[in-house]
Amino acid sequence: MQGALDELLRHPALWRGRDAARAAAPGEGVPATVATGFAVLDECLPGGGWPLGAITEILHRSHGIGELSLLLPALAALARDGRWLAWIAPPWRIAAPALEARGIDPARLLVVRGCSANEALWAAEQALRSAACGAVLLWPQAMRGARPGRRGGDGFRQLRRLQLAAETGHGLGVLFGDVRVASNASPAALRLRLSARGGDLQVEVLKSRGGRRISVCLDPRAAAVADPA
Amino acid sequence: MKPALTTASSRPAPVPCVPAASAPAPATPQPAHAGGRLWLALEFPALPLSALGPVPAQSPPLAVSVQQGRVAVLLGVDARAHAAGVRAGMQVTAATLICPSLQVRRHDPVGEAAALQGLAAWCGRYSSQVCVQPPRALVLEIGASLRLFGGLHALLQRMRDELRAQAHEAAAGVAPTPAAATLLARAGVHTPVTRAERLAGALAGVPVSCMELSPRVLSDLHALGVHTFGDCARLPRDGLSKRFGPDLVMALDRALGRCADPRSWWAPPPLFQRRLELAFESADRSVLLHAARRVLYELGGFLRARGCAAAALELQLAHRNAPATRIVLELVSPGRDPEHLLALLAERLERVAIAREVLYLGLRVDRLVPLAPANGDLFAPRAAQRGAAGSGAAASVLVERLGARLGRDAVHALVCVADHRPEHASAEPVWDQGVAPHTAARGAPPAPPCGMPLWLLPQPRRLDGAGAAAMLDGALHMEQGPWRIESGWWDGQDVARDYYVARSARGTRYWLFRERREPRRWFVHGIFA
Repeated sequence: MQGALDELLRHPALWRGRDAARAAAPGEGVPATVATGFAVLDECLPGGGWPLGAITEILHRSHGIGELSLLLPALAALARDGRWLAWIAPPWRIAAPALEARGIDPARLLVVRGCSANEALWAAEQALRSAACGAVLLWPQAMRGARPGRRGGDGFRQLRRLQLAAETGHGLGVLFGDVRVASNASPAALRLRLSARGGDLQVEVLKSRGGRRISVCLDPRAAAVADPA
Repeated sequence: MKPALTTASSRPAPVPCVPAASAPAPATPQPAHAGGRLWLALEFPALPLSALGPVPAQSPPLAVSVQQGRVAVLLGVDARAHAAGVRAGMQVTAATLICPSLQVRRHDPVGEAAALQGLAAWCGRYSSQVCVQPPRALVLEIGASLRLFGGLHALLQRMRDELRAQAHEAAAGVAPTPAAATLLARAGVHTPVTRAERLAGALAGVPVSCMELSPRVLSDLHALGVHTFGDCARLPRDGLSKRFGPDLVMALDRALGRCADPRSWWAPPPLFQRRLELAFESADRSVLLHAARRVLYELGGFLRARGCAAAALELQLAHRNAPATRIVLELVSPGRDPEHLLALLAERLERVAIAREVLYLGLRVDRLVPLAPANGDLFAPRAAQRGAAGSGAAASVLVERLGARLGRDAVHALVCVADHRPEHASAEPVWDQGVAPHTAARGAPPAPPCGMPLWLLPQPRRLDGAGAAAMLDGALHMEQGPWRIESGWWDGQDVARDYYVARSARGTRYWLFRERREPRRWFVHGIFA
């Protein structure tokens, strides 16, 4: 039975949604995803990692549950490739030694602060458009209140612009948001809802291109540290 | 009595005074540009008009007049005026009758000369041998530039595009000698002539009026039935030079490459300074940007010719009866790409209030930095270059863009500082050439035994304070600690703290500390994200 199924799955005429992200690579030799560093999470995501050239929305209720640790292994990999990491309107001061301890060279960071909500969006768009940035992290100030995310609404249009910019620059775009906007429509390629479960992190895939809704539990501090080959 | 002109066969051999641009050996015919020189002549017939700068889209018809004796006649008309029936050569009075809304500007030879100099500067991008031929032409050597720009057609197309971006119109001629290129451009022969042996054939049809001859010589030639360059070249040389002086024969020889044609080359001035008058006073940003684009293209060529890049630009917008608006553009990394500089300027113009209409705009560049062009890798594919080497350049382009709109102090770098006090262990200096992350002094940070959080609060917050209760919501569960830090007695900001990691009911991990001295208060210092 299993053998017959495998044979069927190898059939070239069969299209599987999970391969969509892999096939969407814009050119030969350009990876469509970057591994998250968490084997359980890679399993759940189409293409086996964070989508490049697309926006990922990370929704969480409170800070400090591991929402950033989840990204660090991927950011470290991108920084090692010589690409820049743009952090736009981060909510607090960034501790450079902590980043260094997690394998990210702080010299690869470009921090934009002290701008209005619209300026932050503009800056994120520019950074995403630039080929220099491997990842762009944006903390929109609108996160405090629920964003009007109706299809055709303001928030939707802004996200759509960011999504198009990400496709140009082929970087990883990450938008942090409040769980309250989870019910709104979003053009993001990937949407995750995070919640704390004991000391661990519950990651719920709300939307992914060619993937399915799935939920996994992982320890954000225990990433498989990939050795730079 | 004038000597009779005969077409006898006693044609003397030309003087063997052959310049470097001579014809290749006939046995192995090669394109002249393979190793030889090729000249491009650009003739700007509309320069009196286009020197006035870009014209806004909904402006009235425009013409330039010049005084000829007692009447003023039109020297150039723009497309709108042409559509209204106004032609160059008309008297101003007649033209205003045909088209009452016609705006007539006096011909400004100084402005025109400045425009031609500007165009020569722009050509510095393409050649190191540019010759200015007043009043309205340039000649430049392009044989050496063909490989760099991907061949003759690619080069010409690129120059045509850039001229259009600068709102200039030009007729181009390409030939193995500068004089022939000028003649072809003037006669409107746009087919490039790259081989010396084809030169005589291409020039044969050029009217003699295109040669710079005195009116008397010209009328005498016409009286003899000599109308084209070819007619002229067929006549015996000795008779021709006896009758019309040596200049005509010299001009023929120079065009055909039989005789040296020494020229003086345009040399870039030590500093760039340009003033562009606007045809119509305007406060419209798109008009200003269009005008700035022309000046920036000229700057780009100037910087290339000097082998430099600009570290800072100053744009002046002059108003009537008011002090000028000044825009100073400081660049993170010296640049000379006109489109990049224009994008930065556009961002700045968005933020500057232009209250009054602008009379003219001036650009000054005082600080030049020597800059070698980037070396491409011979073997590495382009994609690989984009990754490592290109990202540094792309990053500084991005930083400049962000800085131009958000202000220079909005873009920061992040550096580690060798200090055990967490609040001093990391710094966010404003991104600048001086503290560019590659060169930033990096200390060896102490490895934190129980971890340091990614987020640090700007100020440690008292746990018993009013705001802290709302932030922490409920009981804290101690997970790790203590981790002791005692340091900084030397600069008056000494700390003596025991750090702990605590988790709230919501799952947030906090970094807390307790003072080791009285009153031994508790603080929140960071958040583990």
